[in-house]
Amino acid sequence: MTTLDDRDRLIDTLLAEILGGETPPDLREQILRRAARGRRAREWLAVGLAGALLIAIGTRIVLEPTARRDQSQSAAPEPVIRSPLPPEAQGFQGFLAGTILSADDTSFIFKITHSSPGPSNKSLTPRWLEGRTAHLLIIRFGGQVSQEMLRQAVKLKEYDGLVTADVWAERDEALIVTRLREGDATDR
Amino acid sequence: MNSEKLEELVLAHQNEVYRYVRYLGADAATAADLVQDTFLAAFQSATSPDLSDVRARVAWLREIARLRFLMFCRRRKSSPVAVSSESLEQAEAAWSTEFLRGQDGFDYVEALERCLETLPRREREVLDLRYRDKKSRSELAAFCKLSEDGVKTLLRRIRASLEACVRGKLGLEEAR
Repeated sequence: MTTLDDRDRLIDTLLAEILGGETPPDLREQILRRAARGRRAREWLAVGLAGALLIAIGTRIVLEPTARRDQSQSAAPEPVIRSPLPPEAQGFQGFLAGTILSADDTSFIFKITHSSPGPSNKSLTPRWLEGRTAHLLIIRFGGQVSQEMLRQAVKLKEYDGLVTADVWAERDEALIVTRLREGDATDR
Repeated sequence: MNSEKLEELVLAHQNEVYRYVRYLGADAATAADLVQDTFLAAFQSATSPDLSDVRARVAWLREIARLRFLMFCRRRKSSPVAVSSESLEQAEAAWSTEFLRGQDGFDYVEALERCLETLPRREREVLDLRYRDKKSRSELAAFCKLSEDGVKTLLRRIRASLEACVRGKLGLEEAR
């Protein structure tokens, strides 16, 4: 079924072209430039990661004896996906399997091993989350903390196995958890 | 998808995607941004339909564009038109079943041009002032000796008569 408003807007758009001479701009150059920039950034990232890996291996070889003496020293933190969400995570709805690294009163940090889009997923790249670490909120914007979820998060933090979180992205602002349970979503 | 394929895709479909997001309700500057975002998302997407199938790839681009427009509206928290996933699905239905009808929409544009030639002189003047000369609603109100709301209603009525004329020329069913 089509609505009067849609048909009116269709004629309005076409009149702007026919009478107003509004022609679509040629955006080829901008698009290709941005695509090339994105590709270069990914290549640099790959080079950077490879370099970082080499440095890490080299450092480990050199410093392993020292490291053994100081095992309490924590590892360098990896970047955590936080608000505002990167475009790849925007619109995500589905199940994330992984482990809870830390939890506080309203959120926790989740290391994602598996991502599975749900029926309302709008993200074009739902599996981009795999292998990443994300800040998941257990509070809705303007809402209450779910005490049950909070207890579950604290309990599951000690759980030595995979946890599945039902997650949806609140606009481009945050990943909200609606349910937590033990086990891997892929097993279900 | 490599850069050459992206360029082919942009050349073939940037006009339609631009026209589509304008139709969804984006202003010209926003539409230009959304067209870029749409093609970049397509470029970076891990999955795509069979790109040799024109209808499938255009429908895919429109789907990405709708999602981008929805995200833009939600980020802005205000929009020139009331936007939701459902309203955008309805808009897509109108676009594909009324405008495209399995083709490229060219016959619709051609029919509209022919209908414009049959408009009464005064209605054509009003449209020229609005669309060609970009006169404001208050200027149009002064010209037509109507209130601004009256101008809005008049423009809507003229567009409805044009739409009915296009339907007649294309042999489409009466709109409900």
